[in-house]
Amino acid sequence: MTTVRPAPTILIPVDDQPEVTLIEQARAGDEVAFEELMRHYKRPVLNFVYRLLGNAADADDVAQEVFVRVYQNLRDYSPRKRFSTWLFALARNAAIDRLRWRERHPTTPLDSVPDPPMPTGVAEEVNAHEIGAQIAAAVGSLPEDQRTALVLAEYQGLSYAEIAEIMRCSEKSVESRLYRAKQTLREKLRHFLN
Amino acid sequence: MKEPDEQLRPLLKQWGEIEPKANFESNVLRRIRLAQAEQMERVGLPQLLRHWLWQPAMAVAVVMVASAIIGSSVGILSARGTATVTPSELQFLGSGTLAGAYVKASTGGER
Repeated sequence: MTTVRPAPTILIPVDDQPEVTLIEQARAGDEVAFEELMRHYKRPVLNFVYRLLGNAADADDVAQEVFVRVYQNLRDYSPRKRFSTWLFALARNAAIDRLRWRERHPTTPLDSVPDPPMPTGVAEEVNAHEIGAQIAAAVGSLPEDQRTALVLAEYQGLSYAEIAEIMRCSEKSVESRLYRAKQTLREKLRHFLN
Repeated sequence: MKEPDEQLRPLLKQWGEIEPKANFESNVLRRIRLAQAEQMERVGLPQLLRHWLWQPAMAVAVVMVASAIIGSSVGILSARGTATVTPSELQFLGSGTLAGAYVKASTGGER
């Protein structure tokens, strides 16, 4: 059973420099180094895909797939880039693949994110779990590009430049996606604000 | 009045994060092994042959077997081409012999 805990302010303030050696070793086929990298990054990757997919079971499966792809494509990684940027780009692609798969195979998973209920009372009456579910639903309703930009900025604490590199777009475009995402969220979650 | 982001940001943080499962790493490693095994199965015959031929012992064995096959084939073909029958060997088919009379009767006297 996957446990849930409150989100920290920044999930991945990872300085890539200490990992350069680990990455080099993993690229050379050192499995122990790869496992160490995985231990370091599994949590941010898991939570990144969780917030994109809105489903813990899918997130676990996709996060595992991400690390399989990392292992298979580590030779393509250029050390000139930040490892976390390359990793999140892989994770985003894997999550998009899963979203497309879901579109082709529509089902109703047991722990799918519920639709946001209409506000029926004051925010104080709604417990933390319900608030989380409503935020998840609101974020899940955003278009994929806005959702990715929002998750990377607000939950992973990445800069516009890093997000632009991951999403292969300009920083201006990241800014615009974030602006639109936040506008939508403010509207959908207005009963919790003020 | 707070800035819009100052209100939204703490609210977003209330969507908690999930913990990786205890067997996360072992599951990933198992999937890597599976993917490697599947990749080996998908490898076609040409790649497999190329891989084997990199092994010196296998390469020598393949060359020896190929030489034996080619050598014996060429030998059989060349032996077949040079085989000749001398007239003395066909005397038993000559006129006046029983075999000769039979041949003459069955071919209408063309031989």
